[in-house]
Amino acid sequence: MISELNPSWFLLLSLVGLVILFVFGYLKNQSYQLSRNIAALYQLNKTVKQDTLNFIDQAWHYLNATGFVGYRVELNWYGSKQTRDYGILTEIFDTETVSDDEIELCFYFYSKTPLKGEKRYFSNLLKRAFIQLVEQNIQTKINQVLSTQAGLQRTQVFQQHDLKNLIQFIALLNTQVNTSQTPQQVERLMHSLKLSLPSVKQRAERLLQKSSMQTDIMPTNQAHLANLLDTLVKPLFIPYQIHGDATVAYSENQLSESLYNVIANFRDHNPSQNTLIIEIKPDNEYVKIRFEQLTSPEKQAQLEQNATRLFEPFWTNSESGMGLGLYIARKTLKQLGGDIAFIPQNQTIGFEVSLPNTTKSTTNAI
Amino acid sequence: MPIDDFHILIIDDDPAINTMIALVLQDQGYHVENAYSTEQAQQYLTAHRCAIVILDLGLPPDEHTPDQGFGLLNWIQAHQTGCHIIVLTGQLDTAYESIKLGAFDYLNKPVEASAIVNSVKRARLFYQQQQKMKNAGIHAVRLQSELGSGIKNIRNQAEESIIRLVLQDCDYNIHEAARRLGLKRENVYYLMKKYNLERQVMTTDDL
Repeated sequence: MISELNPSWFLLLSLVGLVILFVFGYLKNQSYQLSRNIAALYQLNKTVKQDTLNFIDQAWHYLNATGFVGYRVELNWYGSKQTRDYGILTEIFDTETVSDDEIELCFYFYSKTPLKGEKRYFSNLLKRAFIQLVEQNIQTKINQVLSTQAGLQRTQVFQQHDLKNLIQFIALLNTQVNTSQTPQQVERLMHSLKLSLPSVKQRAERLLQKSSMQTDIMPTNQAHLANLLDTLVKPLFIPYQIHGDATVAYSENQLSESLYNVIANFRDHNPSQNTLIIEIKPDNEYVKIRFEQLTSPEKQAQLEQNATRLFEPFWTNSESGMGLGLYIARKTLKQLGGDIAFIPQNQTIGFEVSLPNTTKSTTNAI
Repeated sequence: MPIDDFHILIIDDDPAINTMIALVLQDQGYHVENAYSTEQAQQYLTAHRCAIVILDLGLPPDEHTPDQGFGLLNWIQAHQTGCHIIVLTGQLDTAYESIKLGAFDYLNKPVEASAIVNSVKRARLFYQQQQKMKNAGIHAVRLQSELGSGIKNIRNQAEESIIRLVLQDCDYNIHEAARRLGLKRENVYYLMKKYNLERQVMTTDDL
């Protein structure tokens, strides 16, 4: 009977009820906060247009709100390595790694004390959502690159068709020229050529235009770097000096394309009358080519701030650029066994290209 | 003087190659016609019988894929039974599909003029011998079927092919077709309806 219930029991039951109510309220509030933070992460990702590095920078605010006191990201972003720290770094941390062929991101999530119970559960959920967004962004980037490569391959197939038609026409014309003997045959041939040659010329011009924009797989041959660089820089109307020389044995087209992309980067992103200094230094293992040009302090600061992104495909701070020049240069140099690095210096833009020394014979200064 | 009274249709969107092949074949005495697109080819083939077609697979609007060419190859097979189609293309990996769709020969660009002439000579020989067989009342039909799909399917295909062939040969004269097939006219109408065979507008004077 309730009337006979001991008042202390009644008090105890009321207390238990209150505790349950409090816990329920607390958990509801926590899950509300979590869902708000996850939604904010998605919104942030949308705002930064799925740009991974910007997303990583700005996501700290939301990670912090879910119990992490600090986080560190060790980046290997298309060959550029960097470590970024946010908040307080403690002794207690969890790690997560996201990696692909040209990207490696290692995340460290720090907390003051080991996270337990519901706090661990909620912070893990947010961390998971964060990592998934990073993975998704990287995949989008990779797909973008792959679809561009597929597009280029398609263009190559188209060129092959045009080339085959051109060769086919020449083969048939050759036969006709050799076999046309009577005046009627010659007249017919001339009439046919008058009709067809304009379209042949058009096709050949189109083919030339397309092929000049692409790299063909060419046989390896020896090249004098100073001569090669001279032919690449001269048409760009940049004041330049070349010091040193080396002989290398590579596919000239691949080498030209990668070096041209580096040089064109100076023309497009540092338009000035300052001399571009190119220094070629061979040693036993590598031939190093250093490109340097003076720049304004603003430009220097801007470059250093974006140093990690310089070799990222489709990243550019220019309206007219596609953001592929340095990416292609690095990719091609990697294929040749070499590499390229950005060298930040006082008021100077600098890049250093290294190529395995394939000939080991060197000469100095021109 | 023309070598034969049959026509060769060259279908290639590249006017330079199209006219140059025409010159090569005209020098050999053949009567040649040109088409530069699927529409032009269909228009010509709807109005004329053609013994040999030289077909480039890459046709506009998408000249870098073989889809238009395959579509036209299929169309010719259905509307010009007995026509020998020589595929002359620069598209890679298209031999299997071309032969599967019934191409008589397959040449990969670039080829010498002599290869085209030889292929046309072979096609002409086959065409002439098949004409002789027809005159003797023997009709050759080409069947293509997966063996696992059952005999009925193959039987229907054979029936459709032979009806189509005879109807085209008789210029869709039902009385004549019924006579040649040894059927009643009603049966010919029934089979035409069954296989959705429509009368084609053609002239026989070019044959």
